[in-house]
Amino acid sequence: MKINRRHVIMGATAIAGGAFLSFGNFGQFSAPVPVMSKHEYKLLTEIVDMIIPATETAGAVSAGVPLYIEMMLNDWFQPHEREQFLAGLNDVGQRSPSADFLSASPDEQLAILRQLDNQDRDDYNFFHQLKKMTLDSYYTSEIGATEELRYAAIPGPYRGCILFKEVGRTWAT
Amino acid sequence: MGNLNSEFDAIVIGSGISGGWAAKELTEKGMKTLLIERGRPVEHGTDYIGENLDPWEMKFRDKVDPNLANSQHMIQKKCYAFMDSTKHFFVNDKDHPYSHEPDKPFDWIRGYHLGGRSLLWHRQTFRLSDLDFSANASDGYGVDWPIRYKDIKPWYDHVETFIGVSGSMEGISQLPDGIFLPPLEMNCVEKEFKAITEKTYTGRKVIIGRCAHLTEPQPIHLELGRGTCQSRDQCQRGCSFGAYFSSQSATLPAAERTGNLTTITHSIAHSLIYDDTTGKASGIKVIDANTKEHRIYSARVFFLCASTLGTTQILLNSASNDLPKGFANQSGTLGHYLMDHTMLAGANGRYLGHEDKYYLGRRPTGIYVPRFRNVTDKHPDFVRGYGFAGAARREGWKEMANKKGFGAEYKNSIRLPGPWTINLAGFGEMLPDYNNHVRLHKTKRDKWGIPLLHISCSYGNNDIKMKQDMADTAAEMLTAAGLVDVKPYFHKMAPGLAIHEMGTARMGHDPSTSVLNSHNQCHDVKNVFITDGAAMTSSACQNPSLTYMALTARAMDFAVQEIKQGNL
Repeated sequence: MKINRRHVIMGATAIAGGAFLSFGNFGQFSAPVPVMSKHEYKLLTEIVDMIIPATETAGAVSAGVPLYIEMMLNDWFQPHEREQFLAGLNDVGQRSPSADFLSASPDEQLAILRQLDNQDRDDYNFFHQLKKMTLDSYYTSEIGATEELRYAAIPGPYRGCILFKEVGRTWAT
Repeated sequence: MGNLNSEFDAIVIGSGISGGWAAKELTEKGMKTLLIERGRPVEHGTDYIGENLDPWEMKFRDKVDPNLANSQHMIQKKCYAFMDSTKHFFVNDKDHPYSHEPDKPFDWIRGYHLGGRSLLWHRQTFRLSDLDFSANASDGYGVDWPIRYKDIKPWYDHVETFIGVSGSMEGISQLPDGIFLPPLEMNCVEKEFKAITEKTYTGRKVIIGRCAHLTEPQPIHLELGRGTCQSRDQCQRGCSFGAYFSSQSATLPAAERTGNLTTITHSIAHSLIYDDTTGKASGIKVIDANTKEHRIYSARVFFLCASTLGTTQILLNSASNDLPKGFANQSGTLGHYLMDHTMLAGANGRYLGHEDKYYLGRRPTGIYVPRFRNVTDKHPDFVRGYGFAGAARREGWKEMANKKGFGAEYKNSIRLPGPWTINLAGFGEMLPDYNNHVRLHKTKRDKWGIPLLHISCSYGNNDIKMKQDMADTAAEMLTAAGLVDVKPYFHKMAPGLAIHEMGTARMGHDPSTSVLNSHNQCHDVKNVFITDGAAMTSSACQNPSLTYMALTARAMDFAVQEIKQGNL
């Protein structure tokens, strides 16, 4: 499913249906002002899609993760944090010796991300940061919490010691 | 200055956990009572604006906008319960400043609204025992408590019956049993940890946390519209079920139904007025938070329940020519012996096994290891003791973010919960120390013209040595129970953040060394009572709110008797 962030900027009333509803209630918040170029946003979307892809459940892109991250860059990050993030993103974009990340082969893309993922956790690592943001966003989205994992807004009386198969998946909260 | 000359039998300052109890007890005993709250009204249910929000309904998924947190809530943001869904129950630090010694930070966590921090509390409900009430007398730190367990026991019973406490009967002398609703269940790993620990260590018990949650509401709860806990563990957002105890869910509606309660909000208590012909307080000066208009309310008896530091600020600000040292301060101890608990030391580790087990619901309490240090033995490094609060849980997606991997296989692996872990976190007693004190700032005032509170408080040697033992001992106990990757931790913290600030108007036998007598009555001014945390003579290591409530109910009973006998 292709997500067009410009649709979100136009507001919830302008677009009805499909792609929009899959964001859950994301549209109720002020839409993010783009801080990324179209190319950067595509790159972000591609990497996020590789971190949590669609399987038999929707993945990070359908859950609105790229939009969420763009909102975070706008409204949460300090300017220097935003610069660091975008520099890290563009670094991934240029890591393939032969091509831009987006036009690199799937194997090459995987190799680039694996190499970053395997790096030491002590230093700043763009990929580790993005992975954490992707998980934060995905598993707190309606799709991630209720379709991919298990979510109970009002669980009812507590049961402390039950078989995992009674729940079936990890609790989202 | 406007003077409404409203006549009441009693005036209660503050509507939090102590003030709500004062209002309930007084009105139920037929006293026409005025309840004065400095903040805004908060209606049960209606004003719990964060309740029932799903994570995806919140812009930052329940984290607080850093621009707001960093500009308005510089101190409050340090509290574990400060979230997007709860932030309206924490003060704006810019509007409510205080100062502290430059090298002695103090984190003062506050909620200025009807119900106060009774909406925000962690609801852990433990009795003090004679080990605690006799502690000062036996090791010489602080003055002796003027009461013993037998004096307060009926009032613990009275309070627990009304608030509803879930817990288990254990027969532990240093943590007396109470009137309990059915306990919440331990999970599979906690049950095993309990069995191994109690076998390994004589005198150590692992029990389920006693907490003010209704697991089986009784008629006394149901008639106030309270219901069963639904395991949301989002209590600090407010609970429309009334399943945990707060002023809103229980004491305020109980007081209101008597017809004897008048509540005013947006009304900041400025100072008590002393009448030197009678030797009593004759009124309380109140500032309207919005208009800044001054008013005076009078009554026969005054009950200060404005929180430990709030109450002491009012008393210090009530100094006059007749009372140059502050109100009820002949002893010179008012403002001194400030205590909190120590925390942020303990250990965690990974438990191997029970991978087919899980739990349903978010239990609003944990496990508890009651104090075992200096109970029968004597520790070489420190006096007093600590308890461990803790829990076993299975890791989830948050921990997975720090593990290697991405893609479909990684996503699928997160569908299964991670390993079980156990955390044990110590809560330690802090010794009373004259040097730990609050006073009024000489020049700075808030926007209502009230002198700021200046705090000078730090942990002492005994507190820090005990805290080190929390980390070492937690690690030892987890290792003994067979856990792996056991990691002790010891984080520095400023006092205040345990949100158990106590003392500064302590109880004691002797008017020359304490502010309050055995009935929470000011030695110097008999128609003024203090029943919040300020009254505490020592801190013990248990979560203190239950004791404030019991002391309050006990003091109200005494005060009303005194009124009826014409002594007040």
